[in-house]
Amino acid sequence: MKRLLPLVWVALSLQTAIAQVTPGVPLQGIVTQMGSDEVVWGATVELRKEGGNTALYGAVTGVDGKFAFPSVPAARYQLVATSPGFVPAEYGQKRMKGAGLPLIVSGQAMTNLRLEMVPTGAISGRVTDPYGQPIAIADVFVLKSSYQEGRRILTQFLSAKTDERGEFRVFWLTPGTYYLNVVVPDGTNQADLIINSDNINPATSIIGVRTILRDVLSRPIGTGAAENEAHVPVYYPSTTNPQQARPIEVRAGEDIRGIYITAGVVRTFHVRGVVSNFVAGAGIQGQTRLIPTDPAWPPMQTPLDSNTGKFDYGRVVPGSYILYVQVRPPGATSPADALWATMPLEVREQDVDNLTLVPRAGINLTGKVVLDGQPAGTLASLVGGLFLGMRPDPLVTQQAPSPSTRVSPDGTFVLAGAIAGNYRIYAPPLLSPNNPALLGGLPPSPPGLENSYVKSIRVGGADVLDSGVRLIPIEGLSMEIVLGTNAGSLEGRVTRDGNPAADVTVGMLPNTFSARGYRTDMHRTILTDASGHFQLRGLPPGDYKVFAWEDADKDAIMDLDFVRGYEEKGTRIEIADGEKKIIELNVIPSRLP
Amino acid sequence: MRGVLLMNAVRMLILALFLQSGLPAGTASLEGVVVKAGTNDPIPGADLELTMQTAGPVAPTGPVQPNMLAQYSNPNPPYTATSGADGKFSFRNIAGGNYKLVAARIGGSFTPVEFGQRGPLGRGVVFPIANGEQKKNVRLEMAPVGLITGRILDVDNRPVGHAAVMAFAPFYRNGERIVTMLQLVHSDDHGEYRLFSLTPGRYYVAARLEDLTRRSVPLGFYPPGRMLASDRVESPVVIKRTLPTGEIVEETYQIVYFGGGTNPDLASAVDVGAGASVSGVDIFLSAGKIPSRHIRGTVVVGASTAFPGGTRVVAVPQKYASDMLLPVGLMDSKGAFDLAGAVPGKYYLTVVVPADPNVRTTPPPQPQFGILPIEVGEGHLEGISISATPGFPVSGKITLENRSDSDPDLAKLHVELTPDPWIQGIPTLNWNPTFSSNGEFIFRTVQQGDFFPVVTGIPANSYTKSIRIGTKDLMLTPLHVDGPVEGKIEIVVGTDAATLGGRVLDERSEPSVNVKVALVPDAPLRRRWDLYKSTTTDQSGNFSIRMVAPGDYKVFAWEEADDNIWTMSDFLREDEARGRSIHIGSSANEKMDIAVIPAKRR
Repeated sequence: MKRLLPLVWVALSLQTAIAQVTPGVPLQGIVTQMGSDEVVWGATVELRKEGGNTALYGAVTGVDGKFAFPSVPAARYQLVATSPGFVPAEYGQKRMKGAGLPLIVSGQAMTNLRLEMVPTGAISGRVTDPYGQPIAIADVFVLKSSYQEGRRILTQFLSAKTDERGEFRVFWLTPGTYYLNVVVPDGTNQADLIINSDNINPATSIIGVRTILRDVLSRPIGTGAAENEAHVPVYYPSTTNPQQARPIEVRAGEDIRGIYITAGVVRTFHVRGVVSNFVAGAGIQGQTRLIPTDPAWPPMQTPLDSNTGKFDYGRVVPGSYILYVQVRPPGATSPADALWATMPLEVREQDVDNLTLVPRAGINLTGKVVLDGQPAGTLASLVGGLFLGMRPDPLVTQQAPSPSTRVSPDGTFVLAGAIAGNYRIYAPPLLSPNNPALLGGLPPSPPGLENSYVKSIRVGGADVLDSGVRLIPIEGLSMEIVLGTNAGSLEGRVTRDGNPAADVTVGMLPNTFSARGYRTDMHRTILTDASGHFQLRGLPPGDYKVFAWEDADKDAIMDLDFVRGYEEKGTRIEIADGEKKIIELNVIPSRLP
Repeated sequence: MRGVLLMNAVRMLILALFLQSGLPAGTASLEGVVVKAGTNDPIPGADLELTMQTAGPVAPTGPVQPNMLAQYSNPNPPYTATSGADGKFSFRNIAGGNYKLVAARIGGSFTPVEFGQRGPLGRGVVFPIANGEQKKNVRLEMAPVGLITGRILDVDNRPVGHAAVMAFAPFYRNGERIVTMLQLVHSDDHGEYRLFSLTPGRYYVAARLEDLTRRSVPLGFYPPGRMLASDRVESPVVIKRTLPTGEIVEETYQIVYFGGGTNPDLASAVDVGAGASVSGVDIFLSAGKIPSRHIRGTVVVGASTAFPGGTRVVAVPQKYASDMLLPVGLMDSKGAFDLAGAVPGKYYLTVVVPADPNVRTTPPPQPQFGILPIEVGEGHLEGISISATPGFPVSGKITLENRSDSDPDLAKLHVELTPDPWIQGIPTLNWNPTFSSNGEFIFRTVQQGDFFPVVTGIPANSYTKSIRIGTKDLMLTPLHVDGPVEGKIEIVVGTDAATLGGRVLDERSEPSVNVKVALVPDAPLRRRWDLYKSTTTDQSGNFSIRMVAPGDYKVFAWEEADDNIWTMSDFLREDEARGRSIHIGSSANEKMDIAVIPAKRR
């Protein structure tokens, strides 16, 4: 204790120094639970510079929920409260996670500030086997639904592990709609516990974990799955089909108990085959991947036997797969030198044997990126470094082999080593391969391309921007990507009964059904500001539909079922090249009670 | 007649099945029962494996490192069985041979058991089954697991959710007692935790704040009896707290042990009996809250001026622990770094500057490594300068005593340099070694640090006799590398190793089965960890220790002792008088009977 004294002294003298140079007014307030007078004790309250992220002044609420800042200089601030067990709250917020209002400190003391926090919820329950015995060390995932190219997918949000009673508890859940599944590990590999799905700090690191296991039996005994059995993810209440998972509504502060899930095993099968014309030799490397078309299931991987070119997958769960084989000849230096083979595969009631695959060299797709209306070559350096990629269509998983490259300063590029098949081309951030919300946002546009968009992608004379490209191994295949340099914008105001509607979700998507969920660059979402205004820039010209929803998720625009329910309430607009359109919208009321 | 034919057909079928799975068919059988330890309650549904032992497991020699604790798997496929509702099991049509019998049960309620084991985690004994033998009444007792529960609290008894709670148990290595992590769970939003599936024994419990800004964290729990040792290193949680005045305070949380604050040596032991549940093991994280310090300075890289951005500078605590918090910072393009989250104490500051991929030279450029012992006091540590170098050549020669330089055994010998101290978190680079068939070797780029050379691939009846550089004995003190190393390492592998065999007897002069036998070098060589040898007695109480360096030793046999605890001087002191002294001569084949030291009853 004695050792701390000098530091405390330093802190005190600093405090005095700061107090002297920054005269201000006192601020006082209280943190309560939303919709009640129950106070929140021990919450961290921070004053941040408006639009900033770091705290300028901080305080902690006492047992009476009150906080105080002795001296705050006049300025515009953001007032934020955080506490474990509560959703972070901001001053002036009308609803959970909604936009706050700036706190304007002038020359006068403020004593009645109020922040309202929404308590998080919890889900607990028990996992048993079909005989009612508890399953320990199973992973229980709380999932959130989101949309990928118009299809609902469930992504892991938080997780828990079962104890020896089979019991689990997932907590600190932001009120909302969730799904739940259980994954029972059949081997010794353990999934990490997911504790936080937003505000991830990349600076923190786990440098290493080592575990030495003692041998017990020659086979894993963790879960009781036999050699030809495997556990598959089971969704609440009792289905292996994610589309049939039942949602669980978690309300503020709700503690949902008694979620019981039975996790059984399914019979598994082998998938065996051989690569034809396989020449065994030093340095030859062969790898195979078995990728389920259902993104909820993990891909499998096994090497080719370097002597025989054979492969053998055990424990394959019945379902649809795509099998990829990659052979790297000796001396291959680049992934583009690899030989590839692929085939779709259905695993049903029996082993799949005697597959024969013929690997072939990949297709090299050469091309150039040009700026619309500019002679090739001029301004080409603007596109130098632009990222280009392609991925199989339909998208089965991010794990599928997908060539990518960066554009050379002269505008040319080579997408090397693609396997024959259907592909989508993308050039983030102008045209991203996926729902940008799933990618955690997009990288900034390269300098000089801030107002650009992908106008066309031509392969062999046909525009494949809206349809994707079918790659076949023919000579001299080339691609031309034209970037428009004069994107449009949409600006507007949303009203509710004639008054500005703040904090409303404005979403737009292509009016053409075939482009929906597909042309990600034409799907946009934004929240209106305090005066009901919004502005969307960088829009490719086209035919759009716009909605202003009182209550919608931020990626609702990718949920085509959701959009369909409001189809007649949308406003159709056409945006021409470089057009700056202005509209007025009425808010579509919430359907929630 | 038809019956006989059918019987033969069935036999053929059985034979075929066994041949298919690689198991020899025979005429012996084994029957028994699995029960809950200390009772006659049957355990149904236990998985059993009976595995033929073709050769005994080979114990590691030389200084034992945590990474050498891995177990020795058996190449023979096992016969398998499952206990029935009455707990009974049987193996039929097995071939004669020496076997090991193991049982485990899914569900996490029982500790696995090995036939003949002593203590819940003890290793079993190999036993013979003769052709045609009908072995009956084998009894396997499985210990039910224990449980520790409690709450993790902060100031004002506020529960801490997602705190990491760990169960530790000691193991012993080279005269040191080290606690290793055997389970890691998280507390829930009420601060409650459950450390479950614990093998009966003595534990220490500790907790630390988890970094909630991470998306996910690895936990550590496995079915009972599986986890032998675990360690992890990660960056500490630095809590930046802004005061109402705008001043910023940085704090971190150290690991807090149940009953011991932040000092592991003062931690209270928690004894967990078979099937027992120990509750109320509450830990107050506030005891570990401490203002954190910064370590700031510059990395100096010899010839290069290119500083790849994003290179990590890491401060590694000098004292190993199985859960370590390592302040980490990134080096900027000028080589400057700033590490947050340090607490008073001794660290090694380390950096690996990767080779510039744009430089193409022959040989290719090497990554550069720097290490600097530092001590953090009450304030921030400023102006530290750490130099990174591509490493220095270390060369030497191995000689096989009384053999020529062209002896084929010489070509099989290799040398490893073991960092001292051996701490996870200190990176090791590729030191580019080359071994010649005449015993000469060179490591071209040994990073800065202290190392014990260890010889591997030693032939039968041999042992490492001496490792020297100049007049310095590298078996007692490590090789220090911080610049070009003067001289060459000279290693002599003696070829006159001895064998010590014998029998261990209990108080009634009956053979002691499956007890530990340790060969301990006499003073002044008590710190020559490579001279310690150990084994266990077989079904007849016999033991045999090979590849013993000639010299003066004491031999001990314990009914119950943790592995390598005999490298601890205070443990040995107590039993010193009960060991038998022996001089082991060159190439000798000594035999001795010794009395077992009975298990101490708690």
